[in-house]
Amino acid sequence: MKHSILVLIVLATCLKSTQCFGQTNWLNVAPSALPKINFGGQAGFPTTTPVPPTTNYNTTGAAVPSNTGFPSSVGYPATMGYGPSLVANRKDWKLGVYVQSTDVGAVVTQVAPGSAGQQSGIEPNDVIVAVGGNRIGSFDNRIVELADEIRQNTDPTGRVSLLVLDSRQRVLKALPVVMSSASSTLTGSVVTRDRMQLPYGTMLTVQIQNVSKPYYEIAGGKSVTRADGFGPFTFELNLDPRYLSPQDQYQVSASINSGNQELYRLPQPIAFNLGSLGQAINLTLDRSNGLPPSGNTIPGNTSPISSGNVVINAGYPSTLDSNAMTQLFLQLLGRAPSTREVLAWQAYLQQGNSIDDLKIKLLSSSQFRERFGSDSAYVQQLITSVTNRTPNQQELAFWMGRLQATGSPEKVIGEMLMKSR
Amino acid sequence: MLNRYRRSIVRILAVSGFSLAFPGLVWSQTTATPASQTRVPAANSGSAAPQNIATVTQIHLEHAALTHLIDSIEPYYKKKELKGTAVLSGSTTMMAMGKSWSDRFRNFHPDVVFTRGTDGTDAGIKSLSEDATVIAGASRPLTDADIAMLKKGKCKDPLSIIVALDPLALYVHKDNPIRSITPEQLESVFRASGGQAKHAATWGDVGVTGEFASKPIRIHGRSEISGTTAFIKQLILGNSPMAKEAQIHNTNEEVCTAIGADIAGVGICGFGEATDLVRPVALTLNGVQVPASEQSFLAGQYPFVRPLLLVVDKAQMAIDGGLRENVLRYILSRDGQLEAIRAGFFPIDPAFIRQQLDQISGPQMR
Repeated sequence: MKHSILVLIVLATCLKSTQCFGQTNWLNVAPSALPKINFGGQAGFPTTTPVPPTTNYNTTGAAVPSNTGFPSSVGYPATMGYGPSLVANRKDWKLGVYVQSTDVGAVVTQVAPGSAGQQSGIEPNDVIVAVGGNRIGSFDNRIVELADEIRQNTDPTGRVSLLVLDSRQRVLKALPVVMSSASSTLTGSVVTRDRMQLPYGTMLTVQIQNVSKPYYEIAGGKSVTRADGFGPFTFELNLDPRYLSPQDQYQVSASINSGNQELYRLPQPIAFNLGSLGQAINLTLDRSNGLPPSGNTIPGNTSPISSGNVVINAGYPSTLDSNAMTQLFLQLLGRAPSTREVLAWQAYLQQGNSIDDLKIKLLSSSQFRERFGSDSAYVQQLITSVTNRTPNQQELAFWMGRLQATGSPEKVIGEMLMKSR
Repeated sequence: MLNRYRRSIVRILAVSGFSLAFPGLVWSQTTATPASQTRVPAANSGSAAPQNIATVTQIHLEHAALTHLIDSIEPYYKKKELKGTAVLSGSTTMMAMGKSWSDRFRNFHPDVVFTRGTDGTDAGIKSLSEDATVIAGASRPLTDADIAMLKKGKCKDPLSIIVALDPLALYVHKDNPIRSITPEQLESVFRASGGQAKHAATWGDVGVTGEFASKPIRIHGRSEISGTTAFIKQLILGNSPMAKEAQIHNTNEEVCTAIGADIAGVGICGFGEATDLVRPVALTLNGVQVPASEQSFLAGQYPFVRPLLLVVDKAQMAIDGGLRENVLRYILSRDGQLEAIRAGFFPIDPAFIRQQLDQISGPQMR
């Protein structure tokens, strides 16, 4: 009741001022739903640590050959150290509590028997105020989640310090806890066949994938870590067992990338048996130059978009050639893909879809449709894009009929592809 | 849900002391300088312009930050086998995304069949009140009236879940010289003339100078029943009358296309619907120009956003064998949120996803 009156007073005051526009926005949107990303490594947000450029980087941005013999990409020195972000592959630590988020912290509603939380003396109605020194709860217009903070602040042995408001004694106390994790760990080491020295900023990506169900992403199934020097480089995948099924086949793939170029990879992903979890695996990677391009690329389509300009690949390994993606977007939608689109479509490609599948998706999109004034112009362009030739009147009429009947551009394109084979 | 928002408003106002910067902007304004705003590369620019090392760095940081965000969202795992039919109704904005979600959900649960119900946010909510088994998509938040109608009808326990975000911008023809607009100017464009507040009839009324100033502002909009229009009315106009549109279109993409063909045209579209013939206008908030870009939105600086919701009957969730719970779990999983991005929208904050999962599946152990 008090709250409502306060809100009414406040709203009445604000409505008189002209700056209500922003406020009513927040009335309608749960502000905590908004993702808040701090770009530039600001406080509380982990990003890759930028490496200052080496002294032989010239200010025009022209490529400078590095002394390890690895070519740097156009205008972008490999020694710069930027690349795919380190993928945090932490274990799934569980405190064993059920909580409700408030502006004081996470109020404990239940404690699981036998859990780390119970063993450290946490009881219902206690409030977990901070984890590893970081406040949690709903404040400052966002939610800081207990589970996320535990994940980020727990050390490799499962230890973290909590600040807990003891509900019975009404005191704040620092509570060290030791948690256990249900993760299954896959460890191993990676060496390169030629044992060359890798420059600072080189990254090793190791990934386990479900071969039987490529769309079934495994939590903890990928790790991206630094790999500079001669090696061997160790890796550790902490897999969530809820995502693993003994009926499915799995494979492990690995690659070493520098900047936006793939330097080494496993020639073939190796089949992996879940029963081998617990045994370390050793991988030897070969130079990518000597190997045929692995899946997902259009052969020969790796030139920069426009001559003389820097190509932004943002550190993608060349097996997921973002050049081809950017070209498709420019060609079909008349614009480059945004950062989040590149990420999302790369994830699509990584699930076993090809760049041609991506082309079909873009052709089926309403954005592509909107580029054409009439249905006939649209269908004509569809046919040309798929079959590489201009249709005659009969064909055009036929496919327009199919589009009308199915109402699904994706289906119609599928039919076109089948017919053209 | 409205009560929760009201509590947030009280806190926000207590903190900012009635001086209205947008809450997100208060925190990031101290760190972002106008200079850094202008360095943001236009993601939707038609060609790859020469980039200096600053923008390359920027893109790398964006990529790293987005990767971290996506990795914080848990992938979907199958809890149980499912079968049955689900009817998806409502918002046309969310229709394509709903179809993609259905297709990909069926990778995990091939025995579930999805069918499409009525189109339109209002019609979808109405159909949910008549048939509690519907899953209604809404491209605007539910009002008290909506909830009352649902409860009076067959949907006794409505649960609305935010499944994606759609930041909106004012779009103009690419040759329109306007660069930035204040909230008051934005309101004046859409508010009908005749009231006490101004109505902007020509481009000069919103600060454009030169020969463009005398051109009339031509609004391209959606029909009365669209969620987009309702959101604009609720949010910008506070339910006062809306100015007459020059043209009405069936979809937001059509609005964008029409503006691309009309040099004096203006309309509100989502970030994902922009074409190369139109340009978004930056918002001037407390003197700072905030560009309508992906980066400024993700950094919490750009405040103009609408949530996209799915509304279900919680009573149904108890008897449908887990169908609704798992559909919602899938949509809030990494793949579901990536699919939202592929459809042109934005993912929601991972911490908020966890909160919503608590509502959907019951309290989750941390």
